[in-house]
Amino acid sequence: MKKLVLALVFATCIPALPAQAEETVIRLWHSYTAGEREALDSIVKKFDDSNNSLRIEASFVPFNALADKLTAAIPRGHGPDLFIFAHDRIGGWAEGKLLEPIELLVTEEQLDRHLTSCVFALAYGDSLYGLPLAFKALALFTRTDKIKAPPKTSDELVELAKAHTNKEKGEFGFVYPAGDFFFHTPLLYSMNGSIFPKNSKTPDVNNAGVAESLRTAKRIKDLNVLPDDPTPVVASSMFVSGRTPMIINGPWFLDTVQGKVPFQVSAIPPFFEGRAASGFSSCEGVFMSRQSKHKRAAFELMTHLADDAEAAAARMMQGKQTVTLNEAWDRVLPQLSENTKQIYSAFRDAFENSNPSPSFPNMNAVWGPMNAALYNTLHKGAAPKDAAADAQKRIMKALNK
Amino acid sequence: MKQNVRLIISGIFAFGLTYALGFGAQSVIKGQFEQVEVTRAILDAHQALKSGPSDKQNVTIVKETKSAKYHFLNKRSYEVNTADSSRAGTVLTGENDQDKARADRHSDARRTKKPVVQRLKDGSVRVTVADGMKTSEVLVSESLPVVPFSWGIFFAISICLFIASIFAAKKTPVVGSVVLLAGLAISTGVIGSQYLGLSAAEASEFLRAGGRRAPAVVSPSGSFWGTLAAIYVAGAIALVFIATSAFERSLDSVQRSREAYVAISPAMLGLFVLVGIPFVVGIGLAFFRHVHGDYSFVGLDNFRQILTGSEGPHSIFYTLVVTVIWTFLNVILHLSVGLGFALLLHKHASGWTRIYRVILIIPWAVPAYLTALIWRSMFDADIGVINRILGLEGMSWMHDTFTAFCANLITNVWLGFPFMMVVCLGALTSIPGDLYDAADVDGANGWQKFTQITLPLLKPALLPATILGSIWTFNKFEVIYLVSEGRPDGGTDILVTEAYRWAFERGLAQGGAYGKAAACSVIIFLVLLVYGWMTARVSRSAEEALR
Repeated sequence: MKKLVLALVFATCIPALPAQAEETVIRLWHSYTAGEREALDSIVKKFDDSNNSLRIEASFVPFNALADKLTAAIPRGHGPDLFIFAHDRIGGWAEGKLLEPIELLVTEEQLDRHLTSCVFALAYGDSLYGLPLAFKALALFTRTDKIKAPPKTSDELVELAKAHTNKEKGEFGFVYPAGDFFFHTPLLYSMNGSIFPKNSKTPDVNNAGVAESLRTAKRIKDLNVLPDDPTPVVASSMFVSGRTPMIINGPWFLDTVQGKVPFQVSAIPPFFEGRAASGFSSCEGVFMSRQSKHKRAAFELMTHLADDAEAAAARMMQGKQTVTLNEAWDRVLPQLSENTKQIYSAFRDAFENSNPSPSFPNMNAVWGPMNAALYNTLHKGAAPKDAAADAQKRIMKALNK
Repeated sequence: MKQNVRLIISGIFAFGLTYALGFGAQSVIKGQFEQVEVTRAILDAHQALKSGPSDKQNVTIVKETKSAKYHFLNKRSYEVNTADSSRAGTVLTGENDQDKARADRHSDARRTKKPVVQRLKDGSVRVTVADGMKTSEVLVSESLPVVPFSWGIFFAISICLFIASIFAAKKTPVVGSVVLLAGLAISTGVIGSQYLGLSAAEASEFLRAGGRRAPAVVSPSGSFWGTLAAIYVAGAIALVFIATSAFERSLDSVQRSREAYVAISPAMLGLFVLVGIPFVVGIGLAFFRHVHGDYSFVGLDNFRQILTGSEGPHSIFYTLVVTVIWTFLNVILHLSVGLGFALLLHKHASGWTRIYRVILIIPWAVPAYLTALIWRSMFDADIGVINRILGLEGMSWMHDTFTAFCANLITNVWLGFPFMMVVCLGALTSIPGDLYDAADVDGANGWQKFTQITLPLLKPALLPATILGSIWTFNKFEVIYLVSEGRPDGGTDILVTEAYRWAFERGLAQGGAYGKAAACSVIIFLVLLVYGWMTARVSRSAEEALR
């Protein structure tokens, strides 16, 4: 009974307590892990502490689930105010009016501080939909305890790969997921292939460059230096365990290898008769939901994340990100060891030589058919030209054209 | 008493149905009116773009000047603003919310090359159209001529439906349904003309004359007919139910075991919320097309597209065959491996048996997705342990449909046999030892004892376990998705992974083809329904035979 009375007294006291000042809550979704997450959390905390009227709720959503959650939540008025994602989905999201256009909120000077191609990657149609944070491009990782200098030509690469292949011991001289179209794109651009014809939003992969890139992929496979379609996880573990001295990977791999094995990063050498190319790259940006109820406040955080030199330096140092803010590079590079400096510079060079993946919604129809074209060429003996033509047919079927 | 309850339920049903019908009719008529208004506004906006300022109210024109470096940073300024001429020449800025929203609408109109139509909270409609670097906007705020709600008509239709329900209650559901159908048809016309304030003929004439479809407006008639069809189906089912003895039996049972129903009501509520609602929504979704949060009624089109064409590499019939073979082989292997281990453990009961039993249950205890990922690594062509043991280094399991299917099968047998083993072990302990002693006396050998005693007595336990196991296997998503990933080229996909691909992989440009995914799920449900019905018959006859 006593407890009941006490509970009632306590309950009646609650409304009498002074009401707290209303805070604006900004929800930020991201899929950062490890160092990237720590860096983001510390940036957000600092921002949070210096703003009394704002409270930032940064939530981690696994990468594989993030896009689906955003696509399902935002049209129904749920989801975050801001989120961090790669640029390649913005076409569909912009068409579906999930993203808030921000071109009227930014200035030319503000955008000039970032890598220009990343700024353009975040634009779709006549609108800008995000502020750039970091870029990710493919490069060649080599283990310096096994290979002294990274190969500069495909002949050198083949020679080194052959010398380090011992199938009986499960060792392969060179590793890249040959059956995955994303990892095939360095070959595609190397052979002057294209996915979208100029000024067209409809894919056309039935071109000589694509067929040539498929032929080159088969040529590399027939060298017998590659393992058979390893998953990215298997490929990474092969490099770390010393089963391969060369692997094509992106900056996200740094967190796995740094401090564990001695390595160097360099540009992917041009394959055979092709030109040097790093294939698809992606630009990670911070985007605002059209359903956000606090757009001004959200934009404040957005600009802090992207444009604050200190925050960008923290993302680079702590999060090992290859950031897009030029000032951060000037600030961080002098503080790095020669080896780390070389790694960052190599990724920047790789990005300069890359093509941000197309963000047109129709690009979604390309991945499956192109993976099938690679499979048919590499494993089923299909002629590259036929495989490319078949992929095009399937793309048009998927697009109902 | 029962008759009264039946009448009360019929009355509530009739009232609810009429209300829903009135609401639907009102929305469709209102929608048609709005389409007329929107079409006029689009024409006005285009006119303003061509000829500049006019005496029309609420027209705004914005002109953009190209930015040299960033094409999206165009300078936008008010060229003419008939609503507020003081803003003419002013540049749109991000600090002003109104400007920002206007600039965004103009970007949308230019990108999509279609008029952007927005319905505002106060009921007015805003239309934005673009032509090159110029956009114009028209705001329509005239109220729509809707006649007030007529209670007389409402009650008249309610009474009509009530009579239909009474027919149904008197166990003449066919007459009831006909009356219901006629009532629905008449009431649509009557309510429609009431809301328009015109006769039905005049209303349709008016709509034909002005009803040019506004390009950006989603026609509400699709969802209206969808709603109407759903109401009618639900109404007919309810009427038939009210008229049948099932209704009486349900009432009797509730009256008889009132306390029991109260006790299970939380579980029933839970089931309704967690299973019932998603199930009904899922079936409903199969008739709609989803585009970034907007749903439009497409009837059976999703089913037609899934059954006739295939955006994926294989047709649904191929996937269905793979699914059936997958289920059949899995169940056979689960059963034989599970039963084999159960017999071994049962026969050689010793201190070690318990340890073996725990070891054999481990595959079941480990989360299935972890097991699937481990098996996938073990099947790796070059560094996988399986190829190393078999001396097949370099042979990829995933490059051939047969071997990829086998990899899935082996993984799922590993995951599934412990369940069958546990069921069999339990059932084996309940078989009396005397039967085997008697068989020994009769000189039966091991095989005869197994086929004549063990198997028949295991049957009652094995049948439900097999049915359950086959339904689980039919929808075993994680093994296919994680081990073979459908490779090669979708050849090992089953129906449930196919549904996932519709929702989250194909049709991403439209924000997920949820309608097709739902249609695929409905097909899965129908297949399992037929299977369930068949197995229920088999198990019933088996039970009767045992009795």
